[in-house]
Amino acid sequence: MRLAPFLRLSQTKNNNKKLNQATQQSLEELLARVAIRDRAAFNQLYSQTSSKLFGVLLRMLKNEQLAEDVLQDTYVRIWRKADTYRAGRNEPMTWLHSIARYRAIDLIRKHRKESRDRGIDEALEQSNPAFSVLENLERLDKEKLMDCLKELDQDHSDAIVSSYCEGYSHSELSEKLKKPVGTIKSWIRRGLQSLKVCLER
Amino acid sequence: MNYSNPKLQSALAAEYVLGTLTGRARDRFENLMLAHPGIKDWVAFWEEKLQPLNESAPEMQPSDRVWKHIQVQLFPEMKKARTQGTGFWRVLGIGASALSVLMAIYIARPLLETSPEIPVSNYFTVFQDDEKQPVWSVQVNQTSAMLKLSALNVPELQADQDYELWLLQPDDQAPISLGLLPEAGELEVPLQSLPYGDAAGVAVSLEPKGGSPTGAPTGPVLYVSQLFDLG
Repeated sequence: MRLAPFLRLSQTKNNNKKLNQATQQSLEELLARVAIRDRAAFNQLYSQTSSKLFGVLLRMLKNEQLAEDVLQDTYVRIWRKADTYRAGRNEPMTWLHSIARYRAIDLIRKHRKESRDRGIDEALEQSNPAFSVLENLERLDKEKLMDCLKELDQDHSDAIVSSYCEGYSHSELSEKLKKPVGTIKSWIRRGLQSLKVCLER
Repeated sequence: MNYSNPKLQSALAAEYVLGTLTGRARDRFENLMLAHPGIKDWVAFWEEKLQPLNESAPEMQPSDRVWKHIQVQLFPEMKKARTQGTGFWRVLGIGASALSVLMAIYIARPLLETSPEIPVSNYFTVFQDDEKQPVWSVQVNQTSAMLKLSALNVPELQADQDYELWLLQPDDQAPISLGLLPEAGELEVPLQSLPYGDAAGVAVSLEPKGGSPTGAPTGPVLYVSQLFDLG
């Protein structure tokens, strides 16, 4: 075991003399403690973040059982990989969400299940999901990304948001939007190029 | 393709984060990430920039069984320890903090009544497992200069392992070993003269038989707790 994170813990603990302050510990502190195998911190991290990750997984996988499986797998990975979290590179919540999303993407791509396809059929009958995502962004005051997405062609923006949030592949989007796969690919590629230019401004 | 081209790196990273980079291209990209550090930065860029889309998802409470499954998968030894839990603690297990306070008062009473004349303090803590079951109690008694360790509900160890107790120090100082913890019963040992009042807490690590060979924790840290000043 490396000593440095252990010491980081003792420093952290020193700043939290009162027990009930433990509930307000930052995700960064919790991740540092999980990295040194602190099970209580892991429990707390799960309590603070699992409903967020589960919401994202349900939206992508459209099946409760699959989402639960991926959620379990995600936290097993978090426990094992917490020592690779680099505070400077990503926000803690981004890091956690990314682990969950990549597990879900792997599952969608490699082990496509009928149950998810059924969920997709139901989702397709509903209104445009990209629209409600943008509405939520507005409510959450995530202006930069929303403004940049609005600057894009509507088709490009919808394709990007649907891929990211709903986990749709090119061919699923092609079916959903009734456009050739080549068109979808080009929408996403060009949309991402413009999005990057805007986000970097 | 020239993978050191930032434009290409960004484009691939974006489709990787989006999830539209699939199949062999996705596998290849994951290998590229290891070879070209710049690509990792682009992945981090897109992850961070698109993160608001994750926050737009409504929070959903997962079933309790997910957490149970995670624990069974990661800590199979806990299952055994849990089923061994004694009825006594189960009955008393009405909320961990309440129990700790009760025990602190009960155990501290004789200490408090002795009202020491020298300015020493006594400290107390109970380590708890994830289910808030007490595992050990630790009493630092500076009045009698003794350290009393009581095993309450300790998970079984392998023959070549020991539990070791550490005093966590503030400000980047290395933890100090307070010795091995008993697997059952009580153990009372002479108290080292240490600044317990300034400690950041105490921790238990899993160590090879006989304790850490290096003087610093080498195994996983299983429990961490604060020391409560009983005056």
